[in-house]
Amino acid sequence: MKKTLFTAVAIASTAMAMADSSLISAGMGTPVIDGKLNDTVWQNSIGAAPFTLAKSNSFAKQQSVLRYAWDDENLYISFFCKAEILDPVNNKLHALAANYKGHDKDAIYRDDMVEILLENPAAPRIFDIAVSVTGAFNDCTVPKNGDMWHHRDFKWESGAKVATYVNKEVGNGFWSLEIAVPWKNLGGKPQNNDQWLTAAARFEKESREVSGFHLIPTGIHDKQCFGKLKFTSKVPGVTVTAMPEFAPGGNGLKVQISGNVPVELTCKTTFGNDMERSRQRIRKGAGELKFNLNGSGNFKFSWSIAGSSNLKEYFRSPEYSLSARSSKLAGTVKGGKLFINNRAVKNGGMLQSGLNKLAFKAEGAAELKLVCDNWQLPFPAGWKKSGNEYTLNLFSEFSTIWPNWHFDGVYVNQGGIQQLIFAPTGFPGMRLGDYTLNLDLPEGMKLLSASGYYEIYPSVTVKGPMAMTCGKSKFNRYSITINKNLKYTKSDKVPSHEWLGCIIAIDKNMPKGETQLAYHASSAAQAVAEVPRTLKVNVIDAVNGRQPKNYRVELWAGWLGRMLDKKAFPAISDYFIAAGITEDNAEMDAAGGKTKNFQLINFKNWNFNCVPYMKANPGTAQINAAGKPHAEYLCTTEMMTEKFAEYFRTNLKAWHKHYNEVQHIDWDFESGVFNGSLTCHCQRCFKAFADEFKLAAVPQNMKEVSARYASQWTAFMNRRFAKLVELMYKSIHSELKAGTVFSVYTGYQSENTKRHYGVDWSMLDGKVDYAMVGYGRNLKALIATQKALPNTRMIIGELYYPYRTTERFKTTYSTPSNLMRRACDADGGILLYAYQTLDGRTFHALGEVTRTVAENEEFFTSDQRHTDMLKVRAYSEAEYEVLGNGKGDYLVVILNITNGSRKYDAEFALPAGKKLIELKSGKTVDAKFSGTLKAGEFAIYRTK
Amino acid sequence: MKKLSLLLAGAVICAAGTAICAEVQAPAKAAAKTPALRWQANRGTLKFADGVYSINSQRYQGGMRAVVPKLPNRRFTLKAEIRGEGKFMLAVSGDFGWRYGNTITLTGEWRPVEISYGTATGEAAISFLSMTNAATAFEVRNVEFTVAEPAVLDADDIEGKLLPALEYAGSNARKYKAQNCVWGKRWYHLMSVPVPANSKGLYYYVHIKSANGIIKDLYLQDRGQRLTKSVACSESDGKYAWVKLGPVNAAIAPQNISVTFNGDPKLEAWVDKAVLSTNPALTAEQLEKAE
Repeated sequence: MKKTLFTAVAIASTAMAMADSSLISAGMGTPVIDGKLNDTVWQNSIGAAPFTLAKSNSFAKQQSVLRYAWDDENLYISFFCKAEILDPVNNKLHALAANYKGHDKDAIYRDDMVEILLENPAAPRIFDIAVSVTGAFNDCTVPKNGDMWHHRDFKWESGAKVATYVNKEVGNGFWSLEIAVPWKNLGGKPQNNDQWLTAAARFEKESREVSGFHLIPTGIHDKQCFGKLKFTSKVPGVTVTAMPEFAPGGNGLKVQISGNVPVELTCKTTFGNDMERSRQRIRKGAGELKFNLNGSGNFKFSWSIAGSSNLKEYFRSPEYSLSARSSKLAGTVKGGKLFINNRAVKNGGMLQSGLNKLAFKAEGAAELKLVCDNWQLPFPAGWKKSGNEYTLNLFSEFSTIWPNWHFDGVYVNQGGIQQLIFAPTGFPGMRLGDYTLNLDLPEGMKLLSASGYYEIYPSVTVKGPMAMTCGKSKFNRYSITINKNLKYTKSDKVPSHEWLGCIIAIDKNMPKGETQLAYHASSAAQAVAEVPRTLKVNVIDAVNGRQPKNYRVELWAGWLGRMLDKKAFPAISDYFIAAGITEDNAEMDAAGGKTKNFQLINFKNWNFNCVPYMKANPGTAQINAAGKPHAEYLCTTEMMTEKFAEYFRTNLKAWHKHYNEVQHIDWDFESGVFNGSLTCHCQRCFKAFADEFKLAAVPQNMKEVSARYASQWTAFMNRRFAKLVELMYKSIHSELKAGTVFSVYTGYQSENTKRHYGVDWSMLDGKVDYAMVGYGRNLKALIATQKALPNTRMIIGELYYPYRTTERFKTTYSTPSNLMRRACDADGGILLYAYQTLDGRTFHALGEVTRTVAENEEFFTSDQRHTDMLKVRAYSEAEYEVLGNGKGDYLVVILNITNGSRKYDAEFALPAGKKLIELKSGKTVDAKFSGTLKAGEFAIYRTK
Repeated sequence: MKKLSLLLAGAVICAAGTAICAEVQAPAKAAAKTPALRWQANRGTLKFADGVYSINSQRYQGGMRAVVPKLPNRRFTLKAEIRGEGKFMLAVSGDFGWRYGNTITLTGEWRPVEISYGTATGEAAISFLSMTNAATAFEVRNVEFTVAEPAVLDADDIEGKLLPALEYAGSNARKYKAQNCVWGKRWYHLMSVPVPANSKGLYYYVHIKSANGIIKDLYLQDRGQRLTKSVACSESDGKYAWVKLGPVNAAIAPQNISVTFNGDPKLEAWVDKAVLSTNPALTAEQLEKAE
């Protein structure tokens, strides 16, 4: 089945439609109920998508596809649920909430799950089926009118057959489910062309998303979110592969058509009272419905699918309320004629997204004063002149910043540093040697450095600051020119290490509040300009953190350390230190930075190189699945030998020296046991495996191993990894400078981690100085990891999204309560991944937490939790913590993890003779105490 | 789309009385499927040299003309560049009369012109016409004649698909939401109705009423090309009545066509819905039930 991938698109925060006008048709066919959506009936069905968030006007980040089918016996329903957490790369496999095993209990709503409601006009009540990712399900009926939720009747048994399937694959994490419900339990089988009503929702726990194909203004148990479900004999196979960008100008809705029903796609866009309809016929294969957004502001969008020969409607989406930002070029045109995209315009016109070809044919004293979004289009500077004609390639909405700060703006700290990253895409159809990114910074902000990473752009010239005004605002322009022939590459195809990093300093006296910066690309040689894209900037408080002494606060810095221009490193380092960060991997010390470094170790040839060993010992290369020797990796059985141990010990010092005798060495290991970097397919390894488990015969290949001995092989490989870890740990402590520490990073302890990341933490206890795990907080997995590592300090991570430069959705950030939760769980430290997507909000939060940790470090490093000593009314155990210091004192932490202010009424089992002091105010409180926390804040008390 | 460039090195020029006929051989491969156009002078003289047709029009509607190769159930497009003096129009005569392009004023600069047409019978002729009463001269170059692939159509019965007028309002029809209808006068695009990819004859039943007279020339059209015969509405005493237009041949129609009428400029019309069907004999009762 074709997988769908949507990019999240912003939708205007206008009121949603009060009634859902959608239609989904179900065709006849019978799938095998195994959770896998590879049946012909699903391929030749209509995939209802995208899903939008409940009570919101945004498309869900975790997208889903809903399908229906039917035969004489059953109604069939399938869900395809894209799940980033199931992509092993994201190291969040543990975050899948899959615990529900019961029936008809509300505990199902704590799982990743879907819910579907069906209204048969002939039945007295609505049928309601909720299915967990575990396959366990609830079924009940609800009234057709009134309060559905509180009148659920669980006496009804659907007789449903349910199967789910979880796919944990790199780049393709998802889960899917199939349901078959007998007609006899749904009030009878419909006739061809009958219509029912239906609503469906997905509950995604990690991102806390509730989303539906139908608009969900309140909750799924509301008649407003029901759409039509039509039963018909045959439907076209339609899968949406990409939703439009909804930018002014040309847009496209991409679909894949299968089966033998040619379709006609239609979309309607309505600005005010002006409705425009676009249609496209597609017989089979990939197709695109193209349409223009010829307006700006809020508009409505819907699309439908009909048979191309009979216009019979099979599918109609809800009507989405969206917003498109347009750019209008307007002003005065004198002494000639202006053409925008070959259309003569009098005093300006609308610009489309992307390239706009401007031509001005002068007929005397030319005067061209055109403004777009307060930006004055220069003339004749930058234009190309040929005879009496001036031409300009003017781009709009073109340059790309990552992450996409345009949702909320970027938050910066007074006196802080902000990194902004841009895609130097070049321009379509041009090869140019002077691609220039122009950055207009408001007063109070200045560019410290700008460069690419590695040697990608060996020469980058920065001109500026040049004072300028835009509207009533004053800016300083910095023009950053890449002196390299640049061929156009779409921004989503520019690899992350080929972006352009800009380091900006914020004055400590810059007024708090909202301002804006702007950026645009240009090329003088090719007469290319761009309408500057403005970005909201929110100036917030300075960071006020403190580095703990023995508690690590580690920031993964991405490509920062590979910037060619390193002159901003001291300032960046100072900012990190102000936030309480103790170490990073940007290697800023070589350029005057003061933070400590950590360094990843692995067996790639640019890291700990085993190729010399391989050359000296022929036949020791790792063998891949195709039977070919690996160029860099050694056979794992060979790595278990004393000979290799000696090689490792001997070369470790040189390796360490190469990395400036870094004080923390980490092995980030997230490599599956069947296909990972330590997986060797040679007969020697298979024999070692067979010997260890006393198998009657040596397996011949990995297919046989995975089919017959999956659990044994997993344990075998986990042990091999543990042996290598032990070698590293002992070597580091015996061969390197005292104080050098060693850690392993991987997922929380679980069967998934053992198999997909190749690590069983219980085999590593005492063999690493720090166990680094993450991300997020799954209590079961957290406790399992703590139990597996009774003698090892833990560092727990926080991952920030987006993760890839292709992802354009809203950035995540930490609140103080969020980071304090991690700190309370981890006795070794916290790590943040990664710097590229952070802004002042997370740094400010980090400062609040590191200061508290530094001032009360003995509580955070003692690994003593006494959660039972505290009760907080209406708070879950995840929302408070009591830490002991082993000397009879306690630190009480209460967290507000919600988006609004929240009161707390707490009762602490205060030991006799102790006082409880609220640390921020210094006031003593009773054992029963209360207070109010702002969104994302934490309260902290300490006994004395 | 197959393109037939009419500007080839092997151009043959021949004299034919006072008119000069220019004939151009199309490429062999394409020619096997689509023969070349043969341009002839009309009310004037025609010369062809260096890829440029030079036309001296003696009077109004003088110019050059070519009969389109017989291509039943196909749509074709002609593109060219033109410059000269006076007013000009590109036009096609075919199944249901003339399709006229826009009248443009020529200058010394080359400017693109284009016209497309669908013909069921395959009989049509393209004309470059001077719209100036006096004698004028103009030049034409870069003539491209493109014939669309035959439309892929399926035979399917459509019992009756309701097309609400507000939902399918024409580009310049005035919308009256309260009355749930659209309004227009002669030449207005009252409705823009969809044409499915259906090989059967398509009938459009239009629910229409008029004021200031009876509409005697109601038809379906595509940008000036009539696609159906003219139909006269019957006296309905200012009340809505059903009028059948069609059959429309989907092979030659674009995806949307317009409901239009001609006649007295005082005539006004209101349409609240239409019904699309392959059944040529739907009753009023059946039409009212269409969904």
